[in-house]
Amino acid sequence: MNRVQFMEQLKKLLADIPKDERDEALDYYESYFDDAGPENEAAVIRELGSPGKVAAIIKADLKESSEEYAQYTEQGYEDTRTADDAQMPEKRGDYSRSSREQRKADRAERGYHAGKTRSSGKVALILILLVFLSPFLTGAVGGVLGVLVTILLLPFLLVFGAGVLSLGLIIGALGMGVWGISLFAGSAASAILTLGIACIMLAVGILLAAALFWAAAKVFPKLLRKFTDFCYDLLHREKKVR
Amino acid sequence: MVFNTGAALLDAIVLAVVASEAEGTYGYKITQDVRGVLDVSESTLYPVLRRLQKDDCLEVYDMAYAGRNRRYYKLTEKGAAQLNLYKVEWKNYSSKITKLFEGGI
Repeated sequence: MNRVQFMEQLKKLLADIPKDERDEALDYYESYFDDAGPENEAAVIRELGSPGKVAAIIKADLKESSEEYAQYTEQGYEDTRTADDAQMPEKRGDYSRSSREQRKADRAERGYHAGKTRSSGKVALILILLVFLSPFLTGAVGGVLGVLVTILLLPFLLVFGAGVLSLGLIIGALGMGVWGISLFAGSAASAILTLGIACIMLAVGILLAAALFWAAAKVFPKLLRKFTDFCYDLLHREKKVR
Repeated sequence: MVFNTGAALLDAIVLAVVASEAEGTYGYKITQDVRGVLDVSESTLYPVLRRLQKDDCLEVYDMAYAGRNRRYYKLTEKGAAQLNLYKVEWKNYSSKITKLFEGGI
């Protein structure tokens, strides 16, 4: 096989990749032969291997597919990645994502972090432990859960009760007001008394409603935040102990 | 060579070879230079160069040479930064290994 035949075969084999990629590769190898000089032509062809091999490597790189990458991405560094302070960059062939942007981002940080896979072993261990302990846990958890649910629901029950109460008071006050006005026809004193009671009821109802709104706006978010902080601390501490 | 060369190390070597020529260098010469230090197949270098170019680590320009156009590769700023990163990592890595080999951790 000579240079012309080599290039022709390569061109055919690269027929299914984008034109700009194909032209780029063919240009490269044409000038590669030019630069090597006619005297090295046979050596270059021998060293490049078959056009099929050259095409396969080009295509593999375009696809970034892991199996084909193995051509020159050797396996040697694989196990260092799981070590604590792996100094060696990760193998590029590891990902098969094809988005170029993603690849770019990955490339930018490639190799400068280590030990991503460490935690999965621990998680598995904890899960197994949980399964073994579950018969003992369910009893305790059931009791604790009941208490917890009650405590959690208590504020909501209180709020609901207060809301109903204030609404009832306001509606009652309005009713008594109307009744009181109608009493003016008979005795003025009982009319004024009824109106007074209506006013007190209205005031208490409004106060209760206002207190409720204030609680909803200020106290509950605060409580909620405290609660989530508490949960976070719990989980966090657990991690530290582990 | 007994030791494998990972993709990142190959990238680093190519960047270093290109960086050594201030005016830029071309495919055939890069291949010969890389093969001076590393036993890689000639056909592996093109994809590496192409990808480094796509990732803006290398820039290319054509210059007439002996009646034809020759494509030259030159390091970009990003390529230089990347090379520096590789150099630091390599120093870190190799010094630890060397230390271990020469006794005492």
